[in-house]
Amino acid sequence: MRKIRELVYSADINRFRLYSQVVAFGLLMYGGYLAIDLGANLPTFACAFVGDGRGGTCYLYPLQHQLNMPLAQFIGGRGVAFLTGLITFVLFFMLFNKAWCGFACPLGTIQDWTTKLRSRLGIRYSAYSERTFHGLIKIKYVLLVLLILLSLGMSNAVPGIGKLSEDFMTPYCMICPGRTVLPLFNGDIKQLVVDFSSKTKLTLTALGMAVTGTFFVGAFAKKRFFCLFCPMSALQYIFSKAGLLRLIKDGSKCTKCGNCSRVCDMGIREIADDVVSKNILQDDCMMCFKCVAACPEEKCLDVRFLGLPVFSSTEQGFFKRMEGKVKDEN
Amino acid sequence: MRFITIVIVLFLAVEAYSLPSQAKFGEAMFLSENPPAGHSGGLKEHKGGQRGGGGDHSEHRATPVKTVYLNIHDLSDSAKAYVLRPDGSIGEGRLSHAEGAWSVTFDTKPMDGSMDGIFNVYVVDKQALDRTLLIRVAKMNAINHSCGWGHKHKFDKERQRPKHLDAIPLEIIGHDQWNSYFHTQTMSGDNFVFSVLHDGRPVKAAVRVRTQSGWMKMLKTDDDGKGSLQLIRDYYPDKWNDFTARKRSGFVITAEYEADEEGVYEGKRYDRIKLITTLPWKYQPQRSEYTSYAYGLGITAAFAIAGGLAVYIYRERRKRPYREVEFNEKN
Repeated sequence: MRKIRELVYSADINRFRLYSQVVAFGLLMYGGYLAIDLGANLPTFACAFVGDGRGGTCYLYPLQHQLNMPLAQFIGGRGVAFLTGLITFVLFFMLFNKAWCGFACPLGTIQDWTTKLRSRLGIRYSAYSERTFHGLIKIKYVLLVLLILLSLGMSNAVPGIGKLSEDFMTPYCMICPGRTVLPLFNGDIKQLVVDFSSKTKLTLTALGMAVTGTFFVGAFAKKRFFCLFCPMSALQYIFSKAGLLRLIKDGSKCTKCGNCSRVCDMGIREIADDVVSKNILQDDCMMCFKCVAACPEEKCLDVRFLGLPVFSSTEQGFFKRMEGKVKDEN
Repeated sequence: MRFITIVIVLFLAVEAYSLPSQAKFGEAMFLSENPPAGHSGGLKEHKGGQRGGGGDHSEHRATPVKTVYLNIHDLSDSAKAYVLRPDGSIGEGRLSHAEGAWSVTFDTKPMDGSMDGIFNVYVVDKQALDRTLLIRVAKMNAINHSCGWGHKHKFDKERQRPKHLDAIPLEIIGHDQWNSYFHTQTMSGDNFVFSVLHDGRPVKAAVRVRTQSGWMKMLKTDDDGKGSLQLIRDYYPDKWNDFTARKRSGFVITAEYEADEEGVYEGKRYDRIKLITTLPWKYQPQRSEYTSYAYGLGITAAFAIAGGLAVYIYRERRKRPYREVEFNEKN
């Protein structure tokens, strides 16, 4: 048992993550062709606009549809459907917590591939200053609130404004790069358009195409550029305390060397600075566990599933991975 | 009095000359999702609601029962309703007359999604008139789907396939009416292909297609019972603000078949049969009419180039030039 544990703790987590991402990408983008359907309440960007091939659907899509109903109907059958969807989403999410982002999200995977391309080309990456970072992370909560309010506003009159146009249907999807980028992997280019059918559609789709252009440049210059603005990440964080998979930090063992925050693709500084919190998961964390792999302190950072350790920082693991890295570079 | 009579006769003669197709097909009986307006029947306009949103109609709202309406009121007592369910089983269609309209009601089982797909609803009416057996069939494809049930039938060819019922004397089958998610996909400009079957076998039949705006086309099916037509664009709102991409225009396909056939129906002899069948469907404005790849890709390219330049310039401006610092070790 000790041997197995040593083997796991010394494993190359990045390689494991790469394989997981490839499998998840195949499953979520092409699983439908093998009659795989994980449902419509997945806590990851399995885009509804990907055609028959998709193996599941991002929860934000049905959420926006279900919120488009009169408030009175929330206590009826449609309310039950909404609640069922939400509970299913939470259960799926609890299983892997925010590791859905790090190990499964197809849009995240594309960003990681873009990062690899930049790295191969020898171009350095960008990082935000702490002040900019803390300003930007609020955007995803604004998008989540807008997504909810706009969807509700189509079926519920707002005093002085009335009901919103049905053209606001799935407002977030209209600006999400997942809608424009992911269907391309199934050979579908239908989403790469500006829709002139109404002013609302024109605005939303033009904004969506602008976000797509920014997404490509952003993902090239900055690791996991879009994840900082992702409303799915904001929604997930609301339930993250209930996650079965957890990232635990033992502050007493931390030397604040900063390895963990330096390797963090999201640029989270609290992972190094916070020596008080036990559950160290931050709202932008995607649970890639690069921080655990980069930590040289024995069991300072722990990944636990239902309280049982599944991956832990060890001195031996750290040096083994470093050796491997040096060999790769040579 | 004589003058009035001449005017009426002339009017009727002009009407008969200008509408030969109407004279041939007569007032066709068809089914609709909306009750007929007054007693005149006719196609009603659907407003939006393709995916369950707004408008007065939604094909993706699961309900325990669905009701569809006939446009006419002169059904005989022997008229019957049939329902062919998405799984190929026969369901019960309840034909009733209330509030001035004939309607067919059928169960759709909304909660479990087992009846996910397309229902075929039929009303068959037979009457023997002037030694002719007139059989009128109104058929409708009613979509019973909720995206909440998932799309487990997207690769189920059998569930997707438009079905027919051999018991129906004359039937029109529309092809490619819905996509694999049971969403309506017919658009203006599309080539709408259909088949006409007589007792389940392909037949050459005279066909009339009439859109909601009154445009009409006559054609004939080939030896395989197949016919096709390119759906015209007949939606021209005056202002951009009035345009809606979810606008669903209706059209009705009417097929007619006649043959010499002797028999007795309800004690009345006939030596000819005349069958008329209808299939209504709806279509939306063609997507390419209101979307642009050029603008879409142009905006993406503009933002990608501007973003790339911004990152490059920012990085260049932050570069510190190499500077040699000299220390005077004596100090």
